[in-house]
Amino acid sequence: VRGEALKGHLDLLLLAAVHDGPTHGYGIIEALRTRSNGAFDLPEGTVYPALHRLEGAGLLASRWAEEGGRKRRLYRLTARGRAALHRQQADWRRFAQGVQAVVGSEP
Amino acid sequence: VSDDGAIAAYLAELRRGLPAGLRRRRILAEVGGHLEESAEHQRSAGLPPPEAERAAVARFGPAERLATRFAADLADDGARWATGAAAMALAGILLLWIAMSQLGAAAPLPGARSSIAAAVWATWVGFGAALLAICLGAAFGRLGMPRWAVAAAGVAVASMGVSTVACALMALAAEYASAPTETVVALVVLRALVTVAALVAVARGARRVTAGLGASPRRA
Repeated sequence: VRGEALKGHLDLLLLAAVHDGPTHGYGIIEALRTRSNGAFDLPEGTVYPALHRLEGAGLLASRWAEEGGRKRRLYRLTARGRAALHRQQADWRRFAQGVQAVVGSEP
Repeated sequence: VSDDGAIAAYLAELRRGLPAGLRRRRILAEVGGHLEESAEHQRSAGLPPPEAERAAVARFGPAERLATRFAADLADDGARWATGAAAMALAGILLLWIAMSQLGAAAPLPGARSSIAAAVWATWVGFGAALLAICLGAAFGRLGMPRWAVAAAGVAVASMGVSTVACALMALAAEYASAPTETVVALVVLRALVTVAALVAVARGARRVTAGLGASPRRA
């Protein structure tokens, strides 16, 4: 799946990727790639402006942490981010069910 | 990571595309850390170091496009904070203008009245210039917008400072007048509080634009 196709869903994907706990940018990319079975292989740099934007909107918070001799910026969901994630997940399920109902299974 | 390798070249290009400040330091530290980690994974998969760096950079996407996206967000941040600070300053000045119009007539000394009037007009001119700068910045695109917007908000706050001095003059004039001194002193205090609040708003805006959301770590 190309980056353009993911554009409208990137915020939801990023919020979902940090849902399980504080994660750094590289870990988020890996999570997206692994959890999508390699389908979401977008240019890695595209997540950083989005992460900064979500932090500016108060949905994510971040801090520097040292892990294995490396300094990494760890992102976590804020209370607002958690609420936004639940809202967007519900919207996505409705949308996906609607598309599935129209498109149907393969002939 | 070698100084003349693909990662160093990428970071240098990204640095050129971003406005200076701690925000840039944070972005470069984050991106640099990511690229180093990615290159390390490539090396452990068997690629020689120079090719591992090139592969990490290729996976990351063009530096120019990344810089453009960050710059757009920085401009939005700056515009939002500057507009908020300017609106706060405008509200404070409008309130003061109304109050001073009521009290100005009470100052018995022509000299005091004219100095108050001059200070108030200086406030309006400064504030008008600030608003004009913000409008021009918005009209002529985002290039350089954050710095201009913060500078404009700074001018707005400076004009509030002038207005606070005017208020103090007003209080001085009230010493010689029948105007209720307590009311004028209360206005001075209120004015000072509004000025401090606006200064804090502008400082936070400036920090978000030039210093980012958090400082990057010192390189070990």
